[in-house]
Amino acid sequence: MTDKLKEIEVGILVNNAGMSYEHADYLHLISDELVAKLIQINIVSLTRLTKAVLPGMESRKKGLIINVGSAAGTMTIGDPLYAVYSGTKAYVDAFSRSLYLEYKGKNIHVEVRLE
Amino acid sequence: MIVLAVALRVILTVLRGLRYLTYSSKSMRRYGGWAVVTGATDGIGLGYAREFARQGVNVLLVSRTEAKLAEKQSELEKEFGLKGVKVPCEMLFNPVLLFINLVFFSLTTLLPILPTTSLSPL
Repeated sequence: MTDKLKEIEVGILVNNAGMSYEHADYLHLISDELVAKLIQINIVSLTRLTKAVLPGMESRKKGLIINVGSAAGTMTIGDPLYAVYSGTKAYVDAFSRSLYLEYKGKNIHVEVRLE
Repeated sequence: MIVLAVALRVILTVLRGLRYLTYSSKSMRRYGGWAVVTGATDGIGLGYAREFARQGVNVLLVSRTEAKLAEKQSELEKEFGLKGVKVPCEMLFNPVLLFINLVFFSLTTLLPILPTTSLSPL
């Protein structure tokens, strides 16, 4: 994956891939595997992919990163029965906001979309 | 005075809306020749991929199901005549990291750890 990224000049990255629960459930009833997978896909993959494309964008002095968040991660009331999903999407939100401030001077625009 | 303020507010809102319309049309090429879209075979991801292709940006499609990827790739290539490269992958799914995550979560659920909120300055 990262090899492929080196071959092309990536101007835009859309971090859309993500997952949620199969159905609403209490935290103590969901499996550790599901928790780990949610964090792996919604947080770790997104962060690593973003990190992989940033050097190229920085050298070309332009770029656009769109992270797909969720209202579950931004609503102050939270998202009951989807606690881990809600937490991972809150990460996406805070991560994108911070990254926006970090790279706005380098002409790389970062935004989080609540689709 | 209030009427004037309201009118000004309305005009500004409309102008902002118009700016958004012009921003969203045919402007993605300025970022470069390639876009990477993860989860590109369905829904929002596919929507993004199609829009980039429409605007003349080549798209690297990333998803788990290879058959679906090939289908969407040829669809985009036929419709917009651009390069669409597919990368099937388990989204950087690293077994070591998965194991670390599992251990970490088992620990945090099993050990009676200090409530971290009481240590936070916030």
